[in-house]
Amino acid sequence: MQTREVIEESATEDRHMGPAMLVPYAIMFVAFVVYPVGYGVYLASDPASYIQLFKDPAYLTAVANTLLILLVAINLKMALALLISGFFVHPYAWIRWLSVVFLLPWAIPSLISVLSIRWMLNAEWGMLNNIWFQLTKQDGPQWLLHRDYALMSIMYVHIWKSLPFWTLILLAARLGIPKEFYEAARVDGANAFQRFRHVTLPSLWGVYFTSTVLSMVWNLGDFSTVYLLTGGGPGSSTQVLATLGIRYAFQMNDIRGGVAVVVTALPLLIPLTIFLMRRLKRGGLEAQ
Amino acid sequence: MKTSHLRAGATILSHLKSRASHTRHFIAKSAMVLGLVGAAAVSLTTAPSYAQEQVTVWWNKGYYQAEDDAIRSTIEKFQKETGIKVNLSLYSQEDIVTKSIAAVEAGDPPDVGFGSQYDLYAFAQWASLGKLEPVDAIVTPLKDTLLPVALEGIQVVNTKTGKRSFYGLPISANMGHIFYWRDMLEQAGFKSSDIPTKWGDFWNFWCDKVHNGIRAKGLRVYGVGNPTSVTGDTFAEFMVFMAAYDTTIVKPDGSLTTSDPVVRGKLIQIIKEYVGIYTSGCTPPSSITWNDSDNNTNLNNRTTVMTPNASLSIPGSWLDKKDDDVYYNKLVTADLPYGVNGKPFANPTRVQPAVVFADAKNKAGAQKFLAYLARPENYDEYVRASLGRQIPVVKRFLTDPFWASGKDPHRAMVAKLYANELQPMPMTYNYKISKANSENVWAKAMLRVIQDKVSPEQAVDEMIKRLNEIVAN
Amino acid sequence: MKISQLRLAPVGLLILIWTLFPVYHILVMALTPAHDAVSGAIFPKSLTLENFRIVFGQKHHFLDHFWIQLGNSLFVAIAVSFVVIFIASLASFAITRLKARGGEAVSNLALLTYLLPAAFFVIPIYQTINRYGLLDTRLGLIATMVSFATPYAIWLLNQAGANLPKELDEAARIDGASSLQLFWLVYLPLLAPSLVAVGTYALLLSWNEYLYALVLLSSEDRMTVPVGLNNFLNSDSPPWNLLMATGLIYSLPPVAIFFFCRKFLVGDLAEGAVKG
Repeated sequence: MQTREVIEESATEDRHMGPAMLVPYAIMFVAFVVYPVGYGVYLASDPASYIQLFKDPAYLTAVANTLLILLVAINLKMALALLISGFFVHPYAWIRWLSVVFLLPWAIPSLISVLSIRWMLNAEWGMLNNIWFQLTKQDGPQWLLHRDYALMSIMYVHIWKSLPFWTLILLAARLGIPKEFYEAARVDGANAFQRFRHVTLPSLWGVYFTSTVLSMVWNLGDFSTVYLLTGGGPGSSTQVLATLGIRYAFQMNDIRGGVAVVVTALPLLIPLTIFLMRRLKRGGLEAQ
Repeated sequence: MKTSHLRAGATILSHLKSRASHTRHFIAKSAMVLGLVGAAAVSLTTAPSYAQEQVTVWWNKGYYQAEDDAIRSTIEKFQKETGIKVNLSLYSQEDIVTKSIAAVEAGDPPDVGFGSQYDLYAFAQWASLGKLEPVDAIVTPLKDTLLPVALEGIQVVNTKTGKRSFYGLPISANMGHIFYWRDMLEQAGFKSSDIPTKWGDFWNFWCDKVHNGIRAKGLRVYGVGNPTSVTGDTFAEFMVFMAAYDTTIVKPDGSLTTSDPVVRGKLIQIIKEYVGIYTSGCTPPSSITWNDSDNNTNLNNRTTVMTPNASLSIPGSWLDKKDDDVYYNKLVTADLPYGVNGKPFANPTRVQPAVVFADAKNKAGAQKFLAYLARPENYDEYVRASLGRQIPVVKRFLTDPFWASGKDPHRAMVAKLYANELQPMPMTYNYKISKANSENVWAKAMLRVIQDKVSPEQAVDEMIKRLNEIVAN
Repeated sequence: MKISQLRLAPVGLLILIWTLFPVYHILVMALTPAHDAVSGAIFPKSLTLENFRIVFGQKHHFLDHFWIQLGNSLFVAIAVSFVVIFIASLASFAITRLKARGGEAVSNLALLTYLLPAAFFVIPIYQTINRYGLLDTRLGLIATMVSFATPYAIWLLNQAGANLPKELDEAARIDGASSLQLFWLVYLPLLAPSLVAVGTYALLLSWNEYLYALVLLSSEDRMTVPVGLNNFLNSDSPPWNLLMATGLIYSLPPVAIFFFCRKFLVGDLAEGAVKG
């Protein structure tokens, strides 16, 4: 049949055309992914840098901080996003406008917002402690000067900055829940909390879980927030792996040490990534 | 069947084509607009290239405008005289160290580099490991005109060749002194003549009397701005404390003194005293997170009455703003007190060299540039134009009216500081101390006491352990 | 389902304060004279547009190259955006429509590189860019940003491409269209919204990039605005007011894009990120 021939003919052409169209990507991939990663592996192959690393108390602090931020900030943020998405789901005009404003932290380049917040949190002259002083007549907490407060501040900035994004994800997922589910629950006499517990939560669970893991993976590589807010200080008490690696390489003249810091994050990063790849490749999250 | 199929296909295709042409029009138009904007951006930013000899120079970006103008005008004259084109890049004080270290590591450094913190973190290490080009040909003829401490600071033994050479042209020097606000001191109820000259009394005066005096006036101001963070300023201040306690960390032969119980005992006392300034609350709580510029910022904003410092950047910035009242009347540069033993001590002096990198592409051109800058008329003009931020390293300035006429109170004080005994920084004797500076073992020990509440004894033992490790490696 | 708006109002107010307080802080600092900017006052004593005049006129030591740096930011962002669209649309067409051999592997690699945190590669990438002689060039930053933005772009276009009905291709084939014609006349036009989406994504990613720009660019006339802003802090009297005024100007394009494109940003970009 003629049609079949036409299609087959073009299929022959496709055998060349298809791979040819992948060439630009392949070139980019080899030049800017394979080569650097290979180079990184080469740099990472010196056992001495790991010995030195494990001796450095700043490294242990960085591991602890990284894990702490990952567990506390991400979960807190996702829980907040879940709750707030329940607010934005209401179809009123003013809420739609509020949702536009709500996007601002996500839209403003982090350099600007984080530096501004850094000054805002300045213990002596910042706006926050100024308000605190006017309200209580006492000096406020030393936000960026104590490890605990400084970590809290880092978490605060992280949440402020990325809450809108994850709220939108969960909002979209919420809007995807069929109305009938809620109707049915109502007919069964479920109250608001029960509807949340038995309809919303199970429907959102897949998206929620994947989002949490994805956010953790991304956060492992969050350099700017910590670097710009505390610079890892005071001392090295708020260093995380992403900032410590760069400090080693570019400030302490120890490139191999810097790569080693990153490599030690792989045992955590690889399983999370594999998990995500499986999950994302299975397609739509709503189905899960 | 077949024909209808085909017709359907044709219809879809023509429909798509018309849609496509719309979209393509749109895309083409947007592409054109964006392309034009992009092209404009490129034409704005692409530097013209010349087929002439070029020298790449990385220079420390100034704290204020005059410093940048000074190096630019030197370069302009150099270009006119030699026909060599200079590609100048100005990097901030922290970035230039980071960038230069990375560039040296990658084997692609500029030809000439001058970072005002090279000496703290990199200079001695580079020179020892053969990363710098010896510049004896430039420095040796100048030997008699340079201050001894400057010569000492740039002389390093290359560990590969075992040869001692000059590895840089000294541009400026820094040594400990203080700045304070005369008017605020008076507000606190004191006069300049009340400032004690004994070490302990001196700190009590600022930290206790002045601090409380100014607070009693209801001002939210701190008596002292004492850097206690992971920065070069803290290192320099720590070295001043060590000198005041008549002790050092490295002997001139490069070996550590840390096994000496007397040194350990003094280090413990120093940590106690230094940390005490912080814990007593007379320096802003944020001192433990300050960057190098923050003690300046706090003094300039009049939130501290006094700050220890090593350069003239603070008065320089007021001169740059043409604020004569502050420069001549309110802001005071003053000498440090005597040491703990009641005698003057040798002031630890940082020497900041401009260097030629061993892997530079145009070493000959780089040397020409340094030789040009080293010529008395050019050097003096550069130093003057940068309004005194750079404290000069040549003997002639001690008699140069610009510095020594006494009309300028800050410069006069610098001339006086130079008359005191000076000593080089420990990196000069052992380049591995630069690594201790990068890690800032000094500030870390103090932060252990402040933050982690360990005893000063333990903090010092940890510091000594780390220093031994660093030097042994 | 109908909770009264009155009960929602306090929540809305909380969200508003939470969101806007730091934004207000940027505004206050950008609109006050040098000395008041750092005073921490909640309501500034005086407001001025002087800071913006200084920025636009490049009338400060740290703003010598403001317009050039803004041009660099724009140039890098637009270039990255176009290159990403080019590479990703070809690749996704080959994968989803031509079922090219190796296509599956490319998708997987793309997904993998998308998931790995960019900051972890900064050291080897710095060395690589240096080997290529691209350090301190806009091209080096563009190449790097392209390699970070392309994986997600391919991923997103693969989704969109796979959703196009197969019959379209067949019909076009019967009309005698070659693969390239199919790509140009059918695939690209139908995917136009997704192309705009990935282009915007790449644009924003590059515009906002701080770490790589900081590490790769060093000359004042080649750096992008975020690197230039970083230099402000290296001063003994950092002009916070000018820093924030410049930052505010720099934030306007992304904020405008978010405002006008929020529909598809929310639809395509945000969801695509996790939906895969």
